[in-house]
Amino acid sequence: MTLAHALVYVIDDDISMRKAVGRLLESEDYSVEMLTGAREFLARAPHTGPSCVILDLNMPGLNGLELQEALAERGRAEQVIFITGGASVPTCAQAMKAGAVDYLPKPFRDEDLLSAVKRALERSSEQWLQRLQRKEVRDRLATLTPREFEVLKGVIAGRLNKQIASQLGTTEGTIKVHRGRVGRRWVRHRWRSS
Amino acid sequence: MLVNACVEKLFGYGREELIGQDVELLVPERFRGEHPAHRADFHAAPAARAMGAGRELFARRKDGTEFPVEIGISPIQSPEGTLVLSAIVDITARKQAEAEALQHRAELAHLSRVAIMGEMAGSLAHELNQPLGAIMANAGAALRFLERDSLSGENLREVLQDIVADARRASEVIHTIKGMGRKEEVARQLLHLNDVIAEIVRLTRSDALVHDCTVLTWLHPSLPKVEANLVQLQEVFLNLILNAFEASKEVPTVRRRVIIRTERDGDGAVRASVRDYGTGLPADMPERVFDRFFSTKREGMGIGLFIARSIVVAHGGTLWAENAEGGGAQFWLRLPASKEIGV
Repeated sequence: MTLAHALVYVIDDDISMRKAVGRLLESEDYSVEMLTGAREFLARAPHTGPSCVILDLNMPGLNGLELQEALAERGRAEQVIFITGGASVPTCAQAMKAGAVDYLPKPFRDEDLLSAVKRALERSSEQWLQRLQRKEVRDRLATLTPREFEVLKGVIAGRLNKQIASQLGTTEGTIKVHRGRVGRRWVRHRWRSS
Repeated sequence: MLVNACVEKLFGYGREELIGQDVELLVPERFRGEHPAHRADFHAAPAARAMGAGRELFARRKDGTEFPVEIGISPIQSPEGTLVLSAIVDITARKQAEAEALQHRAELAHLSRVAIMGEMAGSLAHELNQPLGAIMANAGAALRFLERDSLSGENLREVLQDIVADARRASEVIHTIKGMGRKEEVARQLLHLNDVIAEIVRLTRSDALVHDCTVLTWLHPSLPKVEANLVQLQEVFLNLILNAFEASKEVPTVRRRVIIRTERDGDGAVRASVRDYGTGLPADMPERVFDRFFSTKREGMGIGLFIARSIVVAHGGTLWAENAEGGGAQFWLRLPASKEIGV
């Protein structure tokens, strides 16, 4: 699996706002996609790389907070930055609690938006990295036999060969053989050093 | 002229000064010239009536001061010919009360505008922040491009054009607010009802969002203009629309629709309606919503619709309300069309 480049979505029903924010991002060489509404965004296939969404809070149809919720429900990893023309403390609190990167009342300073985008994309990259590592681990685990997997679980739990053997109803010698195979195929260096 | 004691008191003359004199003595000098002609008219067709045919009448005291009066005149046949019995009522106090009532209404109207502006503060801030935000982002982008020397003349022009357009948008909003806050503004002009409605719909956009209401307009393309005061008419629609949002609060989102229509009403009038699918009006007497201090809102003062109606009436129109078929309320506004031709 390879990562696509970073992408910033701008979702605002106000065309001049959308254009202006898009321009600002392009001035810093970000790839930008502009959308008029939340539903349009949800209907798209998710971007397969670090991404963030600059989201207007007050939009007809699905509003910003509802989109944030919908993304969370679908387990999507886009980081959200809210921009709003009518900031209020309760909506800000709700947005941040739900994991927004930032909440910027319009008009905002360009550096504030750009630094929020930077943070959002860093967060998103980290998530992608973790996701990739998890996938690698899963792929390797899939190469083990069920017996070897049981032995590995015992090893990770810090048990002695003796203990694992009695738990699995076999001899210490057998466990040693299994450990050897698991180690050769996978994470030998890890438990040698321990 | 013959007089009684009340006349002495009212006008400050002694009776000996009046008896036998012409009645013109009691008429202010500026009306004296035309008075004998009116007298002749009355004698030509003597019948009991109110004097002055709807004009405001004034009487003159001995000391030269004037006071407003109402005069009833009736003919009395006597051996000396036809006498005219004039009953003169000093209406100074009533006039004063009327002036005060007018003043009160103006104050009330101002108060309601201020209250509405308070309710709308969120919308107005949103309407301003939107273009301001775009201006800042555009200017910031242009500066960054310039720093990197990667802005073509064509691109710069585009950015600047967008900035100008947004600045204009912001100033229009401010212009509207300024108009709304003004205390007295009674000048009338020729207006397109559709424009007034479109502007208010735009201004209430974020209120609509907050209330989750969809606003649909169905505006007749060739309405005659109306002669009206812009700010007052805006206020009427503002009231009606904000009310419709409020009424939609308790119903499911799918029903939160507000439909605004305009249409011709014969040759001489235009009609507008604001319809919601909300909780509707008190079934027994829908008209109660126009009563002063009738309110269902916790924070409402109950003067919005009262003011709206008095504005419409002052424009020679009518404003009424009914429960619409299929639920919700429908407000109707009818205004006389301007005589001026052209759309």
